[in-house]
Amino acid sequence: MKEILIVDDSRTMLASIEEILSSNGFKVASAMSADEAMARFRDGLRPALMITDLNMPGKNGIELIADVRKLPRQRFMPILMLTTESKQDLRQQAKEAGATGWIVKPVNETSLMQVIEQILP
Amino acid sequence: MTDDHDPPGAQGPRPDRPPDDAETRLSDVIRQHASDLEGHFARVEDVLVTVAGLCSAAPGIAAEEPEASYARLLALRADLDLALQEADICAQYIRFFRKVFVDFIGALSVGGTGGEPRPPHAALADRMERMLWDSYFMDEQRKVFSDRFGTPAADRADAGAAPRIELF
Repeated sequence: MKEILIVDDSRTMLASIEEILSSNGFKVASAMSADEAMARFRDGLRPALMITDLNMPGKNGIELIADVRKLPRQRFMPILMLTTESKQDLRQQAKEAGATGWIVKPVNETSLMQVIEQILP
Repeated sequence: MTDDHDPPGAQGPRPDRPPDDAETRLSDVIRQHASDLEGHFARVEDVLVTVAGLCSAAPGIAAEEPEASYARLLALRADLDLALQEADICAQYIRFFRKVFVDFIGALSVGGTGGEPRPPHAALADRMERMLWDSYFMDEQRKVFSDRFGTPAADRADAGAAPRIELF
């Protein structure tokens, strides 16, 4: 079973995405901040995909992606940004940091699963 | 849409309703599904009441007329089959509503927690309308709605904007 890490500071957003992913057969890990996510990686978490919010207390999603890409084992893991922001400059920053894709909230189950099917072999 | 999104027997918006705002349009669909669920649940309840009545009377009937008692129980099988089908339909409706609630919780939690501005009521209503439009309206409902009201406001607002989903 493939594992997906979700990073979002909103408990309800985590619950919503977890519900979608687990009902589609994925194992789900979650973190409520960039620091917590990095700690999960240091503890040995090896997800097939990471989905992260952009605006979070502490480091934001783009900074998290940059940090994750420095981890040798996570250099090629797909990372999706899931955010209410849709500005082009932010998308470009995320792309340069190593994001695989950008999704504007809210996203429905069908759209999210279509994207995941595209990026997870 | 999956089965979970399509409660069986749902009929689309009431044709005699006048055009109204987005809130009314959404509540039309939800209320209609809730009403349909109530009807299915009532049929399950009818059978359960019959079964309960028969069970409580069964010892007396069986003592006096064992053959007739057995025949009455067998006759109940068709009702039980029907009740089972109705219960399955109820379960689909419950899954449908659960999904709506989970997604709406997600939509309501958008913004405001990590420095993002909380969207104004109108923007939030547009998002929820879009969610129902994308995930829950059945094809025939979409057709009826777009014929009468046009496409959702969120779709119109998105015309020409950056794509909502982009893979790099």
